[in-house]
Amino acid sequence: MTHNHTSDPSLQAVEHGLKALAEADASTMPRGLAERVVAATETLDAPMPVIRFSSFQRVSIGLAAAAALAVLALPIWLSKPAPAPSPMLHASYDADALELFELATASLASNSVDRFDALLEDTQSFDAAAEPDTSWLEESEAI
Amino acid sequence: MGQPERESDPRALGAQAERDGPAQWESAAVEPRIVRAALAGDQDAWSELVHAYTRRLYALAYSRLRQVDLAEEVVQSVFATVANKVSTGGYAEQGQFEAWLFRIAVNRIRDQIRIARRSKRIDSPEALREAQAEPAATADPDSELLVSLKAGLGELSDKDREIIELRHHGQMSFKQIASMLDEPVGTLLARHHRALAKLRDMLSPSEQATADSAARPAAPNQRLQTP
Repeated sequence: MTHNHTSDPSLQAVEHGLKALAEADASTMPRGLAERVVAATETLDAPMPVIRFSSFQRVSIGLAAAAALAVLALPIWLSKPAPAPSPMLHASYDADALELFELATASLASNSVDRFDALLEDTQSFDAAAEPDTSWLEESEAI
Repeated sequence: MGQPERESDPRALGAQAERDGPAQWESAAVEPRIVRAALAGDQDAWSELVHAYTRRLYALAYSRLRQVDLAEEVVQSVFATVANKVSTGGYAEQGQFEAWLFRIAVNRIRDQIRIARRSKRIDSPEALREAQAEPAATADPDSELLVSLKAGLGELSDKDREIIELRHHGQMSFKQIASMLDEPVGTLLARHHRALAKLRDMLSPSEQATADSAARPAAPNQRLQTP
Protein backbone atom coordinates (compact mmCIF):
# COMPACT_ATOMS: atom_id res chain seq x y z
CA MET A 1 0.00 0.00 0.00
CA THR A 2 2.97 2.26 0.50
CA HIS A 3 3.69 3.75 -2.88
CA ASN A 4 6.49 6.07 -3.74
CA HIS A 5 5.06 9.44 -4.63
CA THR A 6 8.37 11.06 -5.28
CA SER A 7 10.73 10.77 -8.19
CA ASP A 8 13.72 11.78 -6.09
CA PRO A 9 15.75 8.58 -5.54
CA SER A 10 17.16 9.85 -2.25
CA LEU A 11 13.66 10.41 -0.90
CA GLN A 12 12.60 7.03 -2.20
CA ALA A 13 15.47 5.58 -0.23
CA VAL A 14 14.26 7.32 2.91
CA GLU A 15 10.78 5.94 2.29
CA HIS A 16 12.25 2.49 1.92
CA GLY A 17 14.09 2.95 5.20
CA LEU A 18 10.88 4.06 6.88
CA LYS A 19 9.14 0.97 5.63
CA ALA A 20 11.87 -1.17 7.14
CA LEU A 21 11.57 0.80 10.38
CA ALA A 22 7.80 0.23 10.42
CA GLU A 23 8.39 -3.48 9.95
CA ALA A 24 10.93 -3.44 12.76
CA ASP A 25 8.50 -1.66 15.07
CA ALA A 26 5.66 -4.01 14.16
CA SER A 27 7.88 -7.01 14.86
CA THR A 28 8.08 -6.03 18.53
CA MET A 29 4.38 -6.76 18.89
CA PRO A 30 3.76 -9.29 21.63
CA ARG A 31 2.46 -12.59 20.36
CA GLY A 32 -1.25 -13.19 20.82
CA LEU A 33 -2.11 -9.51 21.16
CA ALA A 34 -4.96 -9.74 18.66
CA GLU A 35 -6.37 -12.80 20.44
CA ARG A 36 -6.22 -10.97 23.75
CA VAL A 37 -7.99 -7.99 22.23
CA VAL A 38 -10.74 -10.23 20.84
CA ALA A 39 -11.13 -11.97 24.19
CA ALA A 40 -11.27 -8.66 26.05
CA THR A 41 -13.85 -7.12 23.73
CA GLU A 42 -16.04 -10.24 23.69
CA THR A 43 -17.13 -9.39 27.21
CA LEU A 44 -18.57 -6.11 26.02
CA ASP A 45 -22.21 -5.94 25.00
CA ALA A 46 -23.09 -7.12 21.55
CA PRO A 47 -23.52 -4.24 19.16
CA MET A 48 -27.05 -2.97 18.87
CA PRO A 49 -28.49 -2.31 15.44
CA VAL A 50 -28.49 1.37 14.67
CA ILE A 51 -31.81 2.64 13.33
CA ARG A 52 -31.70 5.91 11.50
CA PHE A 53 -34.76 7.89 10.39
CA SER A 54 -35.15 10.45 7.68
CA SER A 55 -36.43 13.93 8.54
CA PHE A 56 -39.86 13.07 7.13
CA GLN A 57 -40.02 9.92 9.24
CA ARG A 58 -39.00 11.86 12.33
CA VAL A 59 -41.73 14.45 11.77
CA SER A 60 -44.32 11.72 11.13
CA ILE A 61 -43.34 9.83 14.28
CA GLY A 62 -43.45 13.05 16.29
CA LEU A 63 -46.92 13.94 15.05
CA ALA A 64 -48.23 10.42 15.65
CA ALA A 65 -46.84 10.47 19.18
CA ALA A 66 -48.43 13.87 19.87
CA ALA A 67 -51.80 12.70 18.53
CA ALA A 68 -51.70 9.53 20.63
CA LEU A 69 -50.87 11.56 23.70
CA ALA A 70 -53.74 13.94 23.01
CA VAL A 71 -56.22 11.06 22.61
CA LEU A 72 -55.07 9.53 25.87
CA ALA A 73 -55.22 12.82 27.72
CA LEU A 74 -58.66 13.88 26.38
CA PRO A 75 -60.87 11.85 28.81
CA ILE A 76 -58.83 13.06 31.75
CA TRP A 77 -59.12 16.63 30.57
CA LEU A 78 -62.88 16.34 29.98
CA SER A 79 -63.59 14.82 33.41
CA LYS A 80 -61.72 17.55 35.17
CA PRO A 81 -63.88 20.15 37.04
CA ALA A 82 -63.83 23.75 35.98
CA PRO A 83 -60.71 25.36 37.21
CA ALA A 84 -61.13 27.34 40.43
CA PRO A 85 -59.82 30.86 40.51
CA SER A 86 -56.36 31.23 41.62
CA PRO A 87 -56.18 30.70 45.37
CA MET A 88 -53.89 33.64 45.68
CA LEU A 89 -56.27 35.91 43.81
CA HIS A 90 -59.19 34.59 45.83
CA ALA A 91 -57.42 35.20 49.09
CA SER A 92 -56.52 38.65 47.95
CA TYR A 93 -60.12 39.48 47.11
CA ASP A 94 -61.29 38.01 50.42
CA ALA A 95 -58.79 40.03 52.31
CA ASP A 96 -59.86 43.24 50.58
CA ALA A 97 -63.55 42.53 51.14
CA LEU A 98 -63.01 41.65 54.77
CA GLU A 99 -60.99 44.75 55.35
CA LEU A 100 -63.67 46.92 53.77
CA PHE A 101 -66.38 45.21 55.78
CA GLU A 102 -64.45 45.64 59.01
CA LEU A 103 -63.79 49.28 58.24
CA ALA A 104 -67.42 49.91 57.46
CA THR A 105 -68.59 48.08 60.55
CA ALA A 106 -66.14 49.88 62.73
CA SER A 107 -67.09 53.18 61.20
CA LEU A 108 -70.77 52.55 61.63
CA ALA A 109 -70.28 51.23 65.16
CA SER A 110 -68.29 54.26 66.23
CA ASN A 111 -70.55 56.79 64.56
CA SER A 112 -73.93 55.18 64.80
CA VAL A 113 -75.21 57.06 67.91
CA ASP A 114 -73.87 60.39 66.80
CA ARG A 115 -75.24 59.82 63.39
CA PHE A 116 -78.55 58.85 64.83
CA ASP A 117 -78.60 61.93 66.98
CA ALA A 118 -77.55 64.08 64.08
CA LEU A 119 -80.17 62.50 61.94
CA LEU A 120 -82.74 63.06 64.63
CA GLU A 121 -81.82 66.69 64.94
CA ASP A 122 -81.90 67.08 61.22
CA THR A 123 -85.31 65.51 61.16
CA GLN A 124 -86.59 67.76 63.92
CA SER A 125 -85.20 70.86 62.32
CA PHE A 126 -86.65 69.67 59.07
CA ASP A 127 -89.97 69.18 60.74
CA ALA A 128 -89.74 72.56 62.26
CA ALA A 129 -88.73 74.03 59.03
CA ALA A 130 -91.36 72.11 57.23
CA GLU A 131 -94.13 73.66 59.42
CA PRO A 132 -95.74 76.37 57.28
CA ASP A 133 -95.23 79.95 58.28
CA THR A 134 -98.74 81.22 58.75
CA SER A 135 -97.86 84.58 60.28
CA TRP A 136 -98.52 86.36 57.05
CA LEU A 137 -101.97 84.89 57.00
CA GLU A 138 -102.65 86.14 60.50
CA GLU A 139 -101.30 89.51 59.51
CA SER A 140 -103.48 89.76 56.45
CA GLU A 141 -106.53 88.74 58.36
CA ALA A 142 -105.80 91.43 60.80
CA ILE A 143 -105.74 93.97 57.98
CA MET B 1 -0.60 -12.86 32.44
CA GLY B 2 2.88 -13.98 31.52
CA GLN B 3 5.40 -11.87 29.70
CA PRO B 4 4.66 -12.18 25.99
CA GLU B 5 7.40 -13.25 23.60
CA ARG B 6 8.95 -10.43 21.63
CA GLU B 7 11.24 -10.15 18.71
CA SER B 8 13.07 -6.90 19.22
CA ASP B 9 16.34 -7.93 17.58
CA PRO B 10 16.61 -6.00 14.33
CA ARG B 11 18.59 -8.90 12.84
CA ALA B 12 15.51 -11.05 13.13
CA LEU B 13 13.46 -8.61 11.12
CA GLY B 14 14.22 -10.16 7.79
CA ALA B 15 13.39 -13.63 9.03
CA GLN B 16 10.25 -12.32 10.70
CA ALA B 17 9.16 -10.61 7.50
CA GLU B 18 9.79 -13.84 5.63
CA ARG B 19 7.69 -15.81 8.10
CA ASP B 20 4.88 -13.28 8.22
CA GLY B 21 4.92 -12.76 4.50
CA PRO B 22 3.63 -9.63 2.86
CA ALA B 23 0.01 -10.51 3.54
CA GLN B 24 0.32 -9.82 7.27
CA TRP B 25 2.18 -6.57 7.11
CA GLU B 26 1.13 -5.02 3.84
CA SER B 27 -2.30 -3.73 4.71
CA ALA B 28 -4.89 -5.69 2.86
CA ALA B 29 -8.01 -3.56 2.81
CA VAL B 30 -10.64 -5.14 4.98
CA GLU B 31 -13.72 -5.84 2.95
CA PRO B 32 -16.65 -3.57 3.76
CA ARG B 33 -18.90 -6.57 4.34
CA ILE B 34 -16.53 -7.80 7.06
CA VAL B 35 -16.60 -4.39 8.70
CA ARG B 36 -20.40 -4.26 8.51
CA ALA B 37 -20.76 -7.80 9.87
CA ALA B 38 -18.31 -7.11 12.70
CA LEU B 39 -20.08 -3.92 13.66
CA ALA B 40 -23.41 -5.76 13.56
CA GLY B 41 -22.19 -8.21 16.19
CA ASP B 42 -20.74 -11.10 14.16
CA GLN B 43 -17.96 -12.45 16.41
CA ASP B 44 -16.03 -14.12 13.59
CA ALA B 45 -16.03 -10.94 11.55
CA TRP B 46 -15.02 -8.96 14.62
CA SER B 47 -12.10 -11.32 15.21
CA GLU B 48 -11.05 -10.93 11.57
CA LEU B 49 -11.26 -7.17 11.86
CA VAL B 50 -9.16 -7.09 15.03
CA HIS B 51 -6.52 -9.36 13.45
CA ALA B 52 -6.42 -7.20 10.32
CA TYR B 53 -5.73 -3.96 12.15
CA THR B 54 -3.87 -4.93 15.32
CA ARG B 55 -0.41 -5.04 13.75
CA ARG B 56 -0.74 -1.69 12.01
CA LEU B 57 -2.16 0.00 15.09
CA TYR B 58 0.55 -1.51 17.26
CA ALA B 59 3.31 -0.38 14.88
CA LEU B 60 1.91 3.13 14.88
CA ALA B 61 1.70 3.23 18.66
CA TYR B 62 5.11 1.64 19.22
CA SER B 63 6.82 4.00 16.79
CA ARG B 64 5.75 6.91 18.92
CA LEU B 65 5.74 5.49 22.43
CA ARG B 66 8.77 3.16 22.08
CA GLN B 67 7.42 0.95 24.85
CA VAL B 68 5.77 -2.39 24.21
CA ASP B 69 3.40 -2.24 27.17
CA LEU B 70 2.20 1.27 26.31
CA ALA B 71 1.70 0.36 22.66
CA GLU B 72 -0.24 -2.75 23.66
CA GLU B 73 -2.36 -0.68 26.01
CA VAL B 74 -3.18 1.73 23.19
CA VAL B 75 -4.28 -1.11 20.90
CA GLN B 76 -6.48 -2.64 23.61
CA SER B 77 -7.97 0.75 24.38
CA VAL B 78 -8.70 1.53 20.72
CA PHE B 79 -10.62 -1.70 20.15
CA ALA B 80 -12.44 -1.36 23.47
CA THR B 81 -13.53 2.13 22.42
CA VAL B 82 -14.69 0.86 19.03
CA ALA B 83 -16.67 -2.00 20.60
CA ASN B 84 -18.20 0.35 23.13
CA LYS B 85 -19.13 3.00 20.59
CA VAL B 86 -20.65 0.46 18.26
CA SER B 87 -22.65 -1.25 21.00
CA THR B 88 -24.15 2.05 22.09
CA GLY B 89 -24.97 3.17 18.54
CA GLY B 90 -22.27 5.84 18.55
CA TYR B 91 -20.97 4.89 15.12
CA ALA B 92 -22.69 4.21 11.82
CA GLU B 93 -20.58 2.60 9.12
CA GLN B 94 -20.34 4.84 6.07
CA GLY B 95 -17.14 3.50 4.56
CA GLN B 96 -14.88 5.50 6.88
CA PHE B 97 -14.16 2.80 9.44
CA GLU B 98 -10.40 2.75 8.94
CA ALA B 99 -10.06 6.51 9.23
CA TRP B 100 -12.22 6.45 12.36
CA LEU B 101 -10.19 3.61 13.87
CA PHE B 102 -6.89 5.40 13.29
CA ARG B 103 -8.29 8.69 14.56
CA ILE B 104 -9.10 6.97 17.84
CA ALA B 105 -5.61 5.47 17.86
CA VAL B 106 -3.95 8.84 17.24
CA ASN B 107 -5.95 10.38 20.07
CA ARG B 108 -4.97 7.56 22.43
CA ILE B 109 -1.32 7.92 21.45
CA ARG B 110 -1.47 11.68 22.05
CA ASP B 111 -2.98 11.00 25.47
CA GLN B 112 -0.19 8.57 26.31
CA ILE B 113 2.46 11.02 25.13
CA ARG B 114 0.95 13.73 27.30
CA ILE B 115 0.97 11.43 30.32
CA ALA B 116 4.45 10.12 29.59
CA ARG B 117 5.93 13.57 28.99
CA ARG B 118 4.67 14.59 32.38
CA SER B 119 6.63 11.72 33.85
CA LYS B 120 9.46 12.12 31.28
CA ARG B 121 9.28 8.58 29.96
CA ILE B 122 9.33 9.41 26.26
CA ASP B 123 11.65 11.57 24.18
CA SER B 124 13.89 12.24 27.13
CA PRO B 125 17.62 12.30 26.32
CA GLU B 126 18.07 9.07 28.33
CA ALA B 127 15.34 7.29 26.40
CA LEU B 128 16.78 8.47 23.09
CA ARG B 129 20.32 7.36 24.00
CA GLU B 130 18.95 3.99 25.08
CA ALA B 131 17.09 3.59 21.80
CA GLN B 132 20.20 4.50 19.85
CA ALA B 133 22.58 2.34 21.83
CA GLU B 134 20.52 -0.84 21.66
CA PRO B 135 20.83 -1.85 18.01
CA ALA B 136 24.13 -0.08 17.38
CA ALA B 137 25.89 -2.98 19.09
CA THR B 138 25.00 -5.18 16.13
CA ALA B 139 27.11 -2.96 13.79
CA ASP B 140 24.69 -3.79 11.00
CA PRO B 141 24.42 -0.95 8.42
CA ASP B 142 20.68 -1.57 8.10
CA SER B 143 20.29 -1.33 11.87
CA GLU B 144 22.31 1.88 11.94
CA LEU B 145 20.02 3.30 9.28
CA LEU B 146 16.96 2.35 11.31
CA VAL B 147 18.42 3.91 14.44
CA SER B 148 19.20 7.12 12.55
CA LEU B 149 15.72 7.20 11.08
CA LYS B 150 14.25 6.62 14.53
CA ALA B 151 16.29 9.47 15.91
CA GLY B 152 15.36 11.59 12.89
CA LEU B 153 11.68 11.03 13.53
CA GLY B 154 12.22 12.37 17.02
CA GLU B 155 13.59 15.57 15.53
CA LEU B 156 10.52 16.20 13.38
CA SER B 157 7.63 18.32 14.56
CA ASP B 158 4.72 16.38 16.06
CA LYS B 159 2.57 17.08 13.02
CA ASP B 160 5.19 15.94 10.48
CA ARG B 161 5.99 12.89 12.53
CA GLU B 162 2.32 11.98 12.73
CA ILE B 163 1.98 12.16 8.95
CA ILE B 164 5.07 10.02 8.40
CA GLU B 165 3.95 7.43 10.94
CA LEU B 166 0.36 7.27 9.71
CA ARG B 167 1.69 6.77 6.20
CA HIS B 168 4.43 4.21 6.89
CA HIS B 169 3.43 2.51 10.12
CA GLY B 170 -0.32 2.88 9.78
CA GLN B 171 -0.18 2.09 6.06
CA MET B 172 -2.86 4.66 5.36
CA SER B 173 -3.45 6.35 2.05
CA PHE B 174 -2.83 10.10 1.76
CA LYS B 175 -6.53 10.58 1.15
CA GLN B 176 -7.39 8.83 4.41
CA ILE B 177 -4.77 10.80 6.34
CA ALA B 178 -6.02 14.05 4.83
CA SER B 179 -9.57 13.21 5.82
CA MET B 180 -8.45 12.20 9.29
CA LEU B 181 -6.35 15.29 9.96
CA ASP B 182 -8.82 17.54 8.16
CA GLU B 183 -6.25 18.90 5.73
CA PRO B 184 -6.23 19.12 1.92
CA VAL B 185 -4.43 16.24 0.23
CA GLY B 186 -2.08 18.66 -1.53
CA THR B 187 -0.99 20.20 1.75
CA LEU B 188 -0.48 16.78 3.21
CA LEU B 189 1.64 15.61 0.28
CA ALA B 190 3.80 18.72 0.57
CA ARG B 191 4.28 18.18 4.31
CA HIS B 192 5.15 14.53 3.74
CA HIS B 193 7.68 15.49 1.07
CA ARG B 194 9.29 18.09 3.33
CA ALA B 195 9.42 15.62 6.22
CA LEU B 196 11.14 13.04 4.02
CA ALA B 197 13.67 15.65 2.91
CA LYS B 198 14.37 16.56 6.54
CA LEU B 199 14.94 12.91 7.40
CA ARG B 200 17.24 12.48 4.42
CA ASP B 201 19.28 15.50 5.46
CA MET B 202 19.68 14.02 8.94
CA LEU B 203 21.22 10.81 7.59
CA SER B 204 24.95 10.58 7.19
CA PRO B 205 26.30 9.99 3.64
CA SER B 206 27.00 6.34 4.44
CA GLU B 207 23.48 5.82 5.77
CA GLN B 208 22.06 7.51 2.71
CA ALA B 209 24.06 5.13 0.57
CA THR B 210 22.74 2.17 2.55
CA ALA B 211 19.18 3.38 2.14
CA ASP B 212 19.75 4.06 -1.51
CA SER B 213 21.16 0.61 -2.19
CA ALA B 214 18.35 -1.01 -0.23
CA ALA B 215 15.76 0.95 -2.18
CA ARG B 216 17.29 0.21 -5.59
CA PRO B 217 15.85 -2.94 -7.15
CA ALA B 218 18.30 -5.68 -7.90
CA ALA B 219 19.65 -5.76 -11.44
CA PRO B 220 18.06 -8.43 -13.66
CA ASN B 221 21.34 -10.34 -14.04
CA GLN B 222 21.73 -10.38 -10.24
CA ARG B 223 18.24 -11.77 -9.81
CA LEU B 224 18.90 -14.51 -12.29
CA GLN B 225 22.08 -15.62 -10.55
CA THR B 226 21.82 -18.99 -8.93
CA PRO B 227 23.78 -19.86 -5.81
